[in-house]
Formats: sequence, structure tokens, C-alpha cells
Amino acid sequence: MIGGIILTHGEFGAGIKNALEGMMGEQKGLIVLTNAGLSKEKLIESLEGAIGKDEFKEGVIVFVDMPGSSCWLTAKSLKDHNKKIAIITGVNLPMLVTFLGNRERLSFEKLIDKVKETGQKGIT
Amino acid sequence: MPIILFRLDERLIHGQVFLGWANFLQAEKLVILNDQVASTPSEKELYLAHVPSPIKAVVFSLKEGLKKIFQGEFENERTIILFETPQDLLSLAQQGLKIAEVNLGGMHFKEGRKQFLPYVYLTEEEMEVFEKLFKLGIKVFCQDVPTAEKKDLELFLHKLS
Repeated sequence: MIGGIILTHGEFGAGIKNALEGMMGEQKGLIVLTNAGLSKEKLIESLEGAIGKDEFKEGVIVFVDMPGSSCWLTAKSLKDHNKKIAIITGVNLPMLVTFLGNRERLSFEKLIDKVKETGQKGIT
Repeated sequence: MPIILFRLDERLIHGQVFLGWANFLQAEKLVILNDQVASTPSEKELYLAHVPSPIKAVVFSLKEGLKKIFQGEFENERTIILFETPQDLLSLAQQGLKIAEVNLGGMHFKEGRKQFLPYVYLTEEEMEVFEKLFKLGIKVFCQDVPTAEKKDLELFLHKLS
């Protein structure tokens, strides 16, 4: 499975997952992390832990809220990982719906393109 | 000298700084003083990549930064100076940098640290460094974002201990 991690400020990630599940039902393989109160080391540790999950064999997409933020910086600082990792900023509902609806169907690279495309189309 | 804020924040440049403080204080420039970031091009690039224009951002080593402050390099722009650790701040204060007040914006949870505020966790060693800063006459105020309550760290630490 291609894993999804939503890494955001405050309760944004928990809130957007809650909204998503209200529409699509309970979702597996979608982890929510927040930077609230965590040092960089601790944030990296929790992100590494989530990325390292056995079921995410085919790669992981890390959704962050804002480029340049500490969440984004932490995701960017992950190096030398043996898994495929992509970072997508500006997380919104349309991109997460596309992610969940297509992750079993598309390759990692195609999925990233599609997710970004719908995310951008969701802004009108 | 229009250095409008000295800020201690482990996250250096991030949302609270370029959205919160820079807007509130109408800062024109953000300056990171940090040896590790200054000597690692990839890290430097990450911190500077998304600072919204027209705010300018730069990174210097502690030594270089101190020299530039003494030379009056930041006198023409409203500047926020950012430090990662109280140790770095102490080192520059001991080398003659005049600081009246420091904004403590974030030292977060990790092992060995005790919580004082949701965004302030300190080890014993770090508390000792702050005591040295207080002895030099430097006031440290905890305030993560401009709208938050400003708390005097000295009173806070002494009241709690």
C-alpha cells in the first residue's frame, strides 16, 4: 500500500481527516501528525516511525499544510531513506479524496501527479 | 540600530516568524545566526526557500553575524535576529553584543527537558544558561506569537523552582 501521512500545524490534520472520513468512511493507512509542542528531533522521530510502517511498502506521500513551515522543513530534512517519499504541500480535501481513491490503482509517480492536479483544480 | 527583535526559536524561520512576527513588527529582514545552518548549503536553502517577499532572509555563522551587527550592517532595515539555542545567545552576549530583551518563541519537547509552557521545555543545563543571561541583565520574555501573553522567564523560573 502507498501510505499517506498528514503532517500539519495544530489540529488541522486531525480535522481534515475527520472531514474526509465523514464523506468516505473510516480510512486505513492515513496517519495524522502535528508539530504542536515537538522539538525537531521528536518530530523527525514520529515522522520516521510513521514512514517506516511495514504496510507502506510501495512508498509514502507526506501531505503538509504550508511550504517553509516547520512541518515542511522536517519532511524535507528526511534523507537516505530506502522508501519512496514524496512531499506535497497545501493539503486540501480534493487531493486527499484523489489519493485515497487512486492509491491502489496507480503507480507511485502517477499517483503524485494526479493528487497534485486535483489539489490544484480544487482551488477555483 | 533597527534590530527590532532578538528571538530564540529552535525552528528558526517558520510560520510563526514569517507570518506572525514579521507582519506584526513590519520586519524587512530575517537573519538566522547559526553555525550549523550557515555551513550546510542544503539546510540554508530550505530555511530561505519560502520566506514571502518582500521580506529578505539571510544566514550567517555566529562569528560573521556578530561582526556584521558591530559594523552596523542591519541599521537600515527592520531586522529580526534568530537564534536556535540559549548557548549561542550567551556566547554572543559574552562577546559584547548588547541585548536588552529576548523573545523566547520555542524550545520544544525532547528527553531530559521539563515543561514550563506548551512551547517552552528546558533541561537543567539550559536553565543555568538562562540564569547567566539574567545576570548579564538580559530580560527573556516567552511569547510564541504576537497575540500571546508575554511572560517573563526569570519570574516564571524562580516562582516555579
